[in-house]
Amino acid sequence: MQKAFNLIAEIYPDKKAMVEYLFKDIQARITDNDIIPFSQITTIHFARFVLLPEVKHEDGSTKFPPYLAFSTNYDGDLDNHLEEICKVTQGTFDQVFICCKDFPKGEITDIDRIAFMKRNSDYRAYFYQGSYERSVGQILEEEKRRQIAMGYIDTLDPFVNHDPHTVRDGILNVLKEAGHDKPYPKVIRPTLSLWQILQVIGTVILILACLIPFVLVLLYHEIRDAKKLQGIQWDYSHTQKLAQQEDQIVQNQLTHLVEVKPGWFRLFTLKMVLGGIAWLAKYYFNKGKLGNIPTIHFARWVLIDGGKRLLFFSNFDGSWESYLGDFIDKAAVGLTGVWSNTIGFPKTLLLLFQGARDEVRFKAWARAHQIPTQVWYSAYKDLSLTNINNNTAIQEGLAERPHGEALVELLERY
Amino acid sequence: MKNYPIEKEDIQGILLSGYGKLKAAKYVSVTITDAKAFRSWLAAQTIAHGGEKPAKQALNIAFTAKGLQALQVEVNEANGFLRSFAEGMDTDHRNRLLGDIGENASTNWTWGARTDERIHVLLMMFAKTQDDLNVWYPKMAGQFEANGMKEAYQLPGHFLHGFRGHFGFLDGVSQPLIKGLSKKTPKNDVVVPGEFLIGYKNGYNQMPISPQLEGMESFGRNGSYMVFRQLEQHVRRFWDTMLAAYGVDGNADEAIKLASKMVGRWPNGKPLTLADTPEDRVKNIKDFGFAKDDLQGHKCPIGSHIRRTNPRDTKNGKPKTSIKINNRHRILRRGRPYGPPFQEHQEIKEMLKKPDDGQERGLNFICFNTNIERQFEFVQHTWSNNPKFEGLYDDVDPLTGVKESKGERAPTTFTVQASPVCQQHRNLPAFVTMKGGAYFFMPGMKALGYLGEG
Ligand code: HEM
Repeated sequence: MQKAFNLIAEIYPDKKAMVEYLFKDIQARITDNDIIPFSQITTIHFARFVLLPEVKHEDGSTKFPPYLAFSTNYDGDLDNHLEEICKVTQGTFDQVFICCKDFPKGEITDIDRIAFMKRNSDYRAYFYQGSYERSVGQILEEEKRRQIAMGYIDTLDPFVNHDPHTVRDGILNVLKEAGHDKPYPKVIRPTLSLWQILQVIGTVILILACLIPFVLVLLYHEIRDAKKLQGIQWDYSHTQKLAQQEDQIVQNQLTHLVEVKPGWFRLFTLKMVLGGIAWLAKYYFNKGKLGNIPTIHFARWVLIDGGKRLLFFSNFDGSWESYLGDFIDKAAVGLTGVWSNTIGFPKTLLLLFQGARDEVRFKAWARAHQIPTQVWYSAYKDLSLTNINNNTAIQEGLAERPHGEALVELLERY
Repeated sequence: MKNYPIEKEDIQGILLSGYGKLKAAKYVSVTITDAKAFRSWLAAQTIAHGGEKPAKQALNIAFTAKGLQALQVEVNEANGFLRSFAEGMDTDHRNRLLGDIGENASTNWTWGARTDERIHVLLMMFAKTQDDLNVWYPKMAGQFEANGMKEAYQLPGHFLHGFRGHFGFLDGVSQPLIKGLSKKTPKNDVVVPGEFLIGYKNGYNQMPISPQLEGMESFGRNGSYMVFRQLEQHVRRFWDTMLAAYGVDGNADEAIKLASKMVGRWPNGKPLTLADTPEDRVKNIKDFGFAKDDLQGHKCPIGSHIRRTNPRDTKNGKPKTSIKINNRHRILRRGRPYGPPFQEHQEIKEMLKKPDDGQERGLNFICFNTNIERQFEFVQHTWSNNPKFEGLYDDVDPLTGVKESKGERAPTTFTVQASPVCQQHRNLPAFVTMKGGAYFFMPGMKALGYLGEG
């Protein structure tokens, strides 16, 4: 099972500079630094540390305190994951956590650390997985197998027509010789039981029944919100700071934090939409595409500060520009449904329309609420999500010993 | 479809025409040393606009952010300039996006790097013959000193035999057609004007962000952003690599075939998707897609130059939606080769036999767009430089892609899709080196008038 861990803990404002300094060190040697050598933690797909800056009211008083966010996408169960982190880090991790107000003082053990981490991570994550339910180990092993097979394919004479069966046997042979041939259990993607289908039908009926009053209230909100909108507000120096972190490897990350529009109606709507997306992510978007976007490894939405702010983390392939472009071109409905409930979002009609399709305004808004991620780790930085899913298809395909066209299709995946 | 009233007379000529009849070109970049003098000089110039067809010569003008600043124009978000233009081509982040690392690094550029304070204005001079240009240029240069200008750098531009590029392939074939200006097919190439001209609706049915200045609200109107990259081409190395690819040195046909796979077209311009051999008859070499017959790339490899720089109908499952999305990443190319041809008639079989002559040659790559980040940079980064393009693992664009490894430029891989298994060509050297470049803004005619008034 792949899961999302989110620790969000308030920090002492005067410790901010110190952690920032530590984070620079960690990021500089992300895999093997002395504080948290990520590559030794086998359960982590992606991880990040982010300092959520303090937000003040106009009168200077604190609206939201500064937080430390630590998030991972991990395999297996939570206890096991946190224990592994503690075992690998051997207490060095305390250097980071002592900036948190809630972190226990004095002599402490891993039990206290785990208790601290659990206590501060009680958030519901609305979660999407692009590499649905494969472990880090499987992802790395399947890539290894593809490379071994490519080594064999390279030896084939390019001017000869090869019999697919001979090629398949050749591949199976090299994998066997290298000891990389044990099949993984096929990925099981959940399907709906009859009871669940009835529940869905029930929910749809319920939604339809409430639709007219809901739409009326929504329109009232949308007309009011549109009046408050200001012109497009770019801040090039903020954007430049964010861009300076990006495109170091083929993957990128985004941390986005924005206030939910005030009032119960928007929070309610937001929760409904997020619940719907998380549901779809599990039952429908579990084959490597969210909407029609094939580049998102993991994405999650988390409501913090009692539903006052929406935090979004994602790990994706390619540049910010291409990610945001995909958002608009392929998933505008979904993301407008989510973020039109947050402040400053472009003018939206009926929750799902217009909104993100206002390209420049949407991009400016996205940058304005994006915050720098101080530490970011990927366990397989050379693999795109498409690669990962293709590798699994190859691995599962080989195990099925196909013939004829199915075999040719399989071999063309290399 | 409704015609867009495009204000041709307010648009600089090079945006609407490649000036195919004006065979000789010179790109002269100058530094403004005296804003006032420059302004009055500018006001007196005859700039070619899109409503005419210059038969003898044409002058067009573009500015870098530094150039506009020299004229006291603030280049920032408040004034509606693009971030990419305001920051310039050479920033740490953009170096990674564009592959300007290793030998391509801006520290090696002859012009345009962030430290180069000289590049303010680009004078693009086009003339019917080289002789005409040779007469015109000294007259032009003679005016610089008295008019607050100093020449910084210049580059020639010309067409090679049969409009071939230096590697020997027909160039300038595929081009977006501006809706409302051209009635020609193929219709998939028809793109709304706002992708190339500010002041018209773009691919999102919205107005592109437009520079607005005090005193001239519509400063951006009928202008466009121009990307200029001087790309050196290593012709001998290119063909040596093709000859050596199968370890069968000297097999010219196989070498040409592999090179064509990398381009996506045969040297004569026929697309591989429509023509299995260069002799195949093709009705219209511009009118094709990949989705219907060639989705797997068995004819035109997925990673070939033309498929990466314009994936046409393959981007999103449904061909029609794909075209729509794809056309938000088109560029209007207006570049020309520079340097002597490697072989006078661009005859590839002759090139294969010719020893290296040690001369520098290449392409002055020029393109127009209204959103550099979404168009040019996207094409270069998300498509050409992306090892993961369309499901690939480790390839980059074999002509213009840059593979990065530990901050350096690394050898590349090219995959030829085939059945039952692909072939990979590994350890390919760079065939193109970046020598210098900059982002420019090319104002409309009225906006030039505004700059001229001061
Ligand atoms: C020295 C460098 C380059 C060479 C030798 C080169 C060569 C070619 C050739 C032979 C073609 C096919 C003929 C045609 O359609 O005009 C082509 C097409 C094209 N190239 Fe390049 N090119 C170079 C640089 C670039 C760069 C830097 C870009 C953009 C980032 C680019 C974008 C395109 C586009 C968009 C097409 C048209 C694709 C289509 O619509 O089918 N090229 N190039």
